[in-house]
Order: sequence, then C-alpha cells, then structure tokens
Amino acid sequence: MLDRFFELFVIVLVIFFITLLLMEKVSYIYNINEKYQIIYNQFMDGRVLIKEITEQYTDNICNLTSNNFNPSIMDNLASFPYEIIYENLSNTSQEYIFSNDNITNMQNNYIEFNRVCYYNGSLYLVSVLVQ
Amino acid sequence: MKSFSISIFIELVVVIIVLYFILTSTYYSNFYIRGYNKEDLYASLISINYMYLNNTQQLNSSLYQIVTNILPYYYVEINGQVAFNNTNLNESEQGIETFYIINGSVDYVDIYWK
Repeated sequence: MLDRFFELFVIVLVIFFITLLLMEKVSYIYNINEKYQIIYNQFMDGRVLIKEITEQYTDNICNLTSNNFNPSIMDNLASFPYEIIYENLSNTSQEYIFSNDNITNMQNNYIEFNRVCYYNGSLYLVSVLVQ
Repeated sequence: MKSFSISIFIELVVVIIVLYFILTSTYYSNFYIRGYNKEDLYASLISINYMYLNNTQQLNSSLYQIVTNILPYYYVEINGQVAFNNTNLNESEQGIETFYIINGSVDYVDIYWK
C-alpha cells in the first residue's frame, strides 16, 4: 500500500516539474521577443537621431554648423536616453559631449552609430549612443 | 508486487533538479552593437567635398580618418592602387566606387568591406 502511494507521489512530482519546465521555456521565449523588441526600438531611435543631427541641423549632409554644438538644442532632442559625442579627428583632445538627463549607465547595453562630418576646417567623428 | 526503492526516488529527484538548471539557464550578456554602417559611410564620404584638398596624399589621409572610424574591416584603393587595408580583397563582401575631383584631375576611390 505504501509502495503504491510512493509511486503515485513520484509520478505527480515528475508531472509537476515537467509543467514547471514547460512554463519556464514559454516565458523564456517571451523574454527573447521582448529583448529583440527593445533592441529594435533602440536601433530605430538611434538611426533617426543620427540622421537628424547630421542632415537636419546642418548646412547640407554632413556639413556641421554651430547648431550641432549648441547645448540647448543638443540636450533636448529626444526623451529616450542618448549621448552625442563630437570628437575632432585632427586634434583628439577636442571633444564635445551632449546628453539628456535620462541616462543611467552608458557602460553596457547600448547601440552606437558613427559618422564622420566636416566642421570648421577639420573632420569630426559624430557618435550617437542610444540606451 | 514491485517494491519501491528509495535510491530510484533520489536519482529521479537529482535528475529533475539538474535538468531544471540546464533547461532554464538563460544566457545573460551585456551587449554593445555597432549600428548599420553602409548609409553612414555614404554620408561620411560626402564630407570630403567640403574640404579644400590639394593633392592625393591629403585625400588619402582624409579617407583614412573616415574609413577607419566607420568600418571594422576595410580595403581601400585610390586610382587602382592599394592605399590602406586591414583585410584582403578576396575576403571582403561589399564595396563601392566613387570619385573626387582634386585640382582638375579625377581620383577614383574603391572601398571594400566585410
């Protein structure tokens, strides 16, 4: 009688754990989809932002103007966390960084977009980091 | 009647616990993605036109600044001769040809990358 009880108990336990595993797998697939959606959103945000700062706020495509170095414009471009870095390639000590207040930590999980543009006689590396 | 043995029960429990950890382990990583680079390269190459270049050597240095900052693997030719590269031509997958007019003469530039 006790043997029969233990057999049933083991079967119930196995079924219970298999159910848990299946549920874990399903939630894992949902998490992957969510992760890809976040990356997709980051990617589209970054593309729009880099096109805007190198084509809309400039004289022509990739011909930077003083608008690009104006903090009141560059710090309020979007609500998502971003960082814009202008680096002079001829004089590497010259660097301008603009960002909005929503940034938490730019050390990981970001997408970077780079363009090289002309301003005031030299080439600048324009980087847009989107979190 | 079959008798129940405790060793099988323990084995089962251990196997289930191990399986649980193997199947539910997810790979968490910090990711850093470099954005799509073809359109950025085209836009960046336009900026050479705003510079006042005098000779092919200056074109070479400007191209070097642009290409090395945007492409991870590149193979660049100016007028059919290798200017700078960090990969072989047969390994590259895509490429573009463009030209710049400097002092009235045309300089052809081929950029390949992978």
